[in-house]
Amino acid sequence: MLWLFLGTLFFFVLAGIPVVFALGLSNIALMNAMDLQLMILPSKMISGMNSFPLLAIPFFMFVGEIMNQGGIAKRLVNFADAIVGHITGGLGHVNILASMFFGGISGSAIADTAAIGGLLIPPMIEQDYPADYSAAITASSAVIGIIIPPSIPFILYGIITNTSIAQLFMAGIIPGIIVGLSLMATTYFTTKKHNYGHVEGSEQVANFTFGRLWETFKEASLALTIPFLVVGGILGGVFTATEAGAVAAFVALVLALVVYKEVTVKDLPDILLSTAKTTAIVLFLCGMAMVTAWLLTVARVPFTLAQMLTTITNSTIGILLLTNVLLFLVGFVMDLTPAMLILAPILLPVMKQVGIDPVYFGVIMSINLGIGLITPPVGTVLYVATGVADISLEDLVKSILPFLFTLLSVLALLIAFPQLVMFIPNLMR
Amino acid sequence: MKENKFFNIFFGIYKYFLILLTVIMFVIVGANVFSRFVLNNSLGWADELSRFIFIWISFLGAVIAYGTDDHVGLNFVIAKIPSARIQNIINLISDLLILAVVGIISYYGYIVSVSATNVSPALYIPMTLVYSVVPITGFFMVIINFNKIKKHIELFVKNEKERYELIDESGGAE
Repeated sequence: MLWLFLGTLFFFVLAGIPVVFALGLSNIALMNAMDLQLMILPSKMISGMNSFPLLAIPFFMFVGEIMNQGGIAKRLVNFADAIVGHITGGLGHVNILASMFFGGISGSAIADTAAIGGLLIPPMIEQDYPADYSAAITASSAVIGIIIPPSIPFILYGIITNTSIAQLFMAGIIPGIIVGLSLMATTYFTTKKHNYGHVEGSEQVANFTFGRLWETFKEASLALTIPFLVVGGILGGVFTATEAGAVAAFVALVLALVVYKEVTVKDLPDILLSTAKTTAIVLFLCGMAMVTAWLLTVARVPFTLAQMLTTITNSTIGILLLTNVLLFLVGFVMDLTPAMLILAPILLPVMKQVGIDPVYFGVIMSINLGIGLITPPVGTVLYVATGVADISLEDLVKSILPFLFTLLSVLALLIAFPQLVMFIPNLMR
Repeated sequence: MKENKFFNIFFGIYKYFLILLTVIMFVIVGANVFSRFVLNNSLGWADELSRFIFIWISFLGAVIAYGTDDHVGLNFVIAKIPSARIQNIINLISDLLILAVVGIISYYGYIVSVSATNVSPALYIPMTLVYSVVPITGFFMVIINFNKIKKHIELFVKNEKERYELIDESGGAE
């Protein structure tokens, strides 16, 4: 049954049919093979979407859209510049730190790439960083956006596998910070080695002063209340993820419209339409994938897969490593959302069987498939970064290699030490 | 989306309807949060109504995304096919398959919709109304699908290749 499903799916996807319709075709093929009534398809789609936690997605999408044009990103960049701009590899560190702030407000790596890349790649090129290197930092640090809470992939994983979204959010904090710091270390060593970003006798790099730190902090502080509201509210059990999303959207809207005045009421219809469209792309796919997940469970596919894997290895760490290799390979040809929606319900029962925590696996899976966003040929973040920096995909892939290696090392670290992920969620239990 | 004037006006209205639904959904959820935390009184109906509007947005928005080719997919293989004729034939078959999926889902969605007799627990909204978004979405997708099929046939006759945009900024939740 698994092969019938995967075979039809990949054949249709390679022929250029969008994943959601290819999944629909595979669902119909499966239902025929299993002698099920086709009426189940639309009703399961609707009942899958009929879930309040999913409503967090349009709110965080809206926050991402607002941040792209509301002057919020610019203030976060200025604040990051005041903190780390003076270190060797200055703007590279600014790029990464700004992505960490940004990741705490929006839950999307694409919004991060477009907003931070648009603001930082031009000045980086001006300060003698190669364009492909600047784009590589932007793309690799955007992956932090989906690890630091809030995170749209965590919401999807939580709903499709029935795992606590609040715990997933909390589990993302430490890994997100580790990823940020390791990317900064990589930036430090690569800029030092190639002597990037050194314009002799230039006045462009401002020195560190407490005055500037305070000034930029004041400007960014209102935007930075959002991550504390989201994390604090969820950790304290005050908000659900959806309520946190509503609050974040409200604060972002007020900031952009009233305080920073960089969005006008006239811009809102476009922002809302694009929110509705991106929400629909994800949710339509999510509804279809929930039917698939249900069908595969009825056909006992997770059970078969578990048997298959346990013939190769019996150890927990062995199965976890094998799964991660599989996910990494999937990341080359598939983007995060469809891969997450299709694979999470199949893989999680296997993980549970060998005693792996669902929250832990959700974080590992998101990071792994997040890395897939910067591996060619299919990597949405890569394409956005080439667009922003105006470079070829080949050049970007070459200079992203050290950062890709760093991200994979962090993933290995998290697999070796699960406590790094589980420390904060364990406090909540 | 289309050169046709009627389509332009129609999808213009359609887009505003979608925007209106999004605003209503945001306001309802926001009002519920406000009511729960400030007035200490949770609105029972808000949860249900916002979920139903959310389902409608997800389906109706998928029509727009289909029209603008923004559903997540792979096109780097098909874009590399050297022969314009073969490429157009594959595209034609793909869109016929999409037509079949959309047709099947809408047909059974219609049956589910008309045969639903239950109402929602809080607001007594007939579930027929909630499910009816499936055939409605299907109808619009089929109209767009016919236009795409027409385009493939025209390109096939002219022996011209499809133009692909490999840079996609709006797909997915990443």
